[in-house]
Amino acid sequence: MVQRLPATDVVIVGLGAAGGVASGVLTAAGLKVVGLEAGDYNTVNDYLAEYDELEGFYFKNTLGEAKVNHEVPTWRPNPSSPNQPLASPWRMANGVGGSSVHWTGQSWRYREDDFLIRTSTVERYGMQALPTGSTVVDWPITYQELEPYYEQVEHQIGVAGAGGTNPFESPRAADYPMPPLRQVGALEWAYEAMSAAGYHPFPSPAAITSVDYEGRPACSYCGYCTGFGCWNDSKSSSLVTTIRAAEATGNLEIRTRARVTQILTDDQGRATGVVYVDAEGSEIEQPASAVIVSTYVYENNRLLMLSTSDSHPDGIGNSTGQLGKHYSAHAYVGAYGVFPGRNFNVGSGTGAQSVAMDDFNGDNFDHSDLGFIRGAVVNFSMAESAPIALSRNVAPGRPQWGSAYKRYLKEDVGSVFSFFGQLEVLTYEDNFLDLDPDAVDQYGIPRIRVTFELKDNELAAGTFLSEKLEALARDAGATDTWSTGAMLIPVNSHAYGGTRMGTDPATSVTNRYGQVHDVPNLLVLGGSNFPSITGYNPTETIYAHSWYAAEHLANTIGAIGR
Amino acid sequence: MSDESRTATLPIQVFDRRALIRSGAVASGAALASVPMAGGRPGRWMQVRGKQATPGATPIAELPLTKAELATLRAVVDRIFPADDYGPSGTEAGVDVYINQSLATHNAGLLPLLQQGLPVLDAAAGGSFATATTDAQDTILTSAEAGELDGDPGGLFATLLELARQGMFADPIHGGNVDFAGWDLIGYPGVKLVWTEADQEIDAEVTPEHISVAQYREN
Repeated sequence: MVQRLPATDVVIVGLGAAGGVASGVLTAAGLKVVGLEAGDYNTVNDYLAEYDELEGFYFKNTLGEAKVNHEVPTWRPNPSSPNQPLASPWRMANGVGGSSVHWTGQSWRYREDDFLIRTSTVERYGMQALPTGSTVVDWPITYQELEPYYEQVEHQIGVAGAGGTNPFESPRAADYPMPPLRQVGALEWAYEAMSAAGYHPFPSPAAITSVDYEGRPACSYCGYCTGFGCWNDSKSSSLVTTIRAAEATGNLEIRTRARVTQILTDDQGRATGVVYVDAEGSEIEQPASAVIVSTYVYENNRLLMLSTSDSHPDGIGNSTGQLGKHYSAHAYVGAYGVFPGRNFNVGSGTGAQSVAMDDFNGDNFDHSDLGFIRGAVVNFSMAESAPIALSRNVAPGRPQWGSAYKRYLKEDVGSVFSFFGQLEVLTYEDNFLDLDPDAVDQYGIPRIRVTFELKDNELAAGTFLSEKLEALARDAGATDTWSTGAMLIPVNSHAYGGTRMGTDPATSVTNRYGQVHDVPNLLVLGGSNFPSITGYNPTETIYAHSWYAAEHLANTIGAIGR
Repeated sequence: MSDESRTATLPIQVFDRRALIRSGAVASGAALASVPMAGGRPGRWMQVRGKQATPGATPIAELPLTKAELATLRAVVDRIFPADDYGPSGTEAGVDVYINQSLATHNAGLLPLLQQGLPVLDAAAGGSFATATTDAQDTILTSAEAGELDGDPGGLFATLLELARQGMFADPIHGGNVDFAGWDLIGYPGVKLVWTEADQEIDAEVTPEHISVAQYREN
């Protein structure tokens, strides 16, 4: 028997980066919001107790234990292949604040050109530059439209950086409100190396406090950042910013350990609310005038696919067969170099404490004779190299065990440095998500199946970047260098697509405001909406677009709400 | 366009943190203080203690490896991490204890590979890997690393190496890294919450603080 609760204005499924920002915007507008969160409401005490490389991150992924660890998607490279094992650890989190609690905090605006990827590519290189089978499109929103929201995010949620230091950055009306994170030691060295090679390095923007900011203390550079909650409230999660503000209005009711199983719709196909299972296993219906689904890429798609009804027989948002399509995820290129006797000392800090360059990103370089389009942002970061990870950091051909290995660990392990490229992977017709017919979660509900592989465009870009970054290392004086080419991570914390935003319902699921085309009182928020992935980390754009979309909902709920 | 007019174009001003802080709705988030959060679970804060914690894994009643398998494993970890000028051996650091316990818990999926693979090392040593000379042991491990060991179930050496690294360098709460032997070897100071600018310089000497995560957990 499903217990039916009184209706609210907006029910938000998932209080992460996207839902957390939406909760702040909607409650400030006076709307009553119920936030349903699968995980717990954690505190700094909970985070500190997990500052353990082995348990907190590699094996238990403690922050994902409430739900997401039990529904890891399956993967096959292409439709004719059986499922393959996943090589990378699963790094999604549950809990109020979601993965904004444990992300690294690299906080980027996309560039003008990123929103116009198809137009700019065709104008410069012609239609033939678009790879066969790719589904490259422009966004239905421009940089200029999103720019004020980027500014709100940078100032109200808190981003540290130095505007104007990246010559490729798009115009900004205001600088960052905080200076960059500490530029010290190996970062100064990397800056010099990039400059000497003729590139244009700058301090990476970070959603972390570099100085005391709005009541939160400056980062203490503890080295437990990626994969961990911040002990010091320095990381600009939605939890310590917009969600706290939303709670202070009295308009947000958070229900934790609430596992949403279905989006409900009426005869006209409009959303009427959601059904969830609480910690005691009771099924509860929460009616609402409008529904926001903001549960990360895989669960956004799964919930829409599972929410079948007479009016949405193939799942919500799937009336044109677009649900689950245009999936993509970042690939990575690593280049390593050794300076014998030198200790770069990159074990502390945060991966967002970093020097970056955009010389090989987007269309910032001429691709005419390269055989690929787009590129990667390149970073040299304080790597938070915890000891187990550091112990694996051995040059190919060097001793991996015995006294020679111990001598290396004692004297030389700090002499390895790395440049990383985060590669823009295009969308393709045959990279997509669906429900796995053979794999279920612990409740017997189908898991998402990822069908995804890197294509010639991305492999060529990986080879190009490997060569460029190894050359950069050699020019800086490294004795040994090696690199990886494009590394595939099919199930990824930088995943995108499946509910693509667009103007035409025939080729997209949502509109520019995240509204499902044929269910206007249902918003989908997060990276699942992104038409393309860029070389940059997604969260600042998720924050900014969620702000933009929630504001539109607040202004129109009287007309579109049920 | 000025900053003011840009902000004014937005119909919604979401929040003013200063006002929230003044009102007491949001804590200052000061370091080393409990941060109350509305709706949060009761705090279980433990003050950072000045002395070293004495961590160690909770013993597991039923350990998965047989006596013979464990003897072979112990010999392997002492060749991966021999006792030498750079510090204690793998078994002195409890690496074998970690591995055996982990095979009952988070590494349980690797147990069949080890049950199959450790006897292969014994066979290569003519019966007992553990009693072979260290030179003979190294020769066998070198062939395993090169993928040339007869009867290798596949990936045996890489798995043993990864498990040994986990045991040596994971927090001592997991049973290895006894007396912080692994962290001293690799120059990791422990869970150190504040790093100064000097601490982050190239070639900086960072003092070992030997702080386990146990210090931040409930007793």
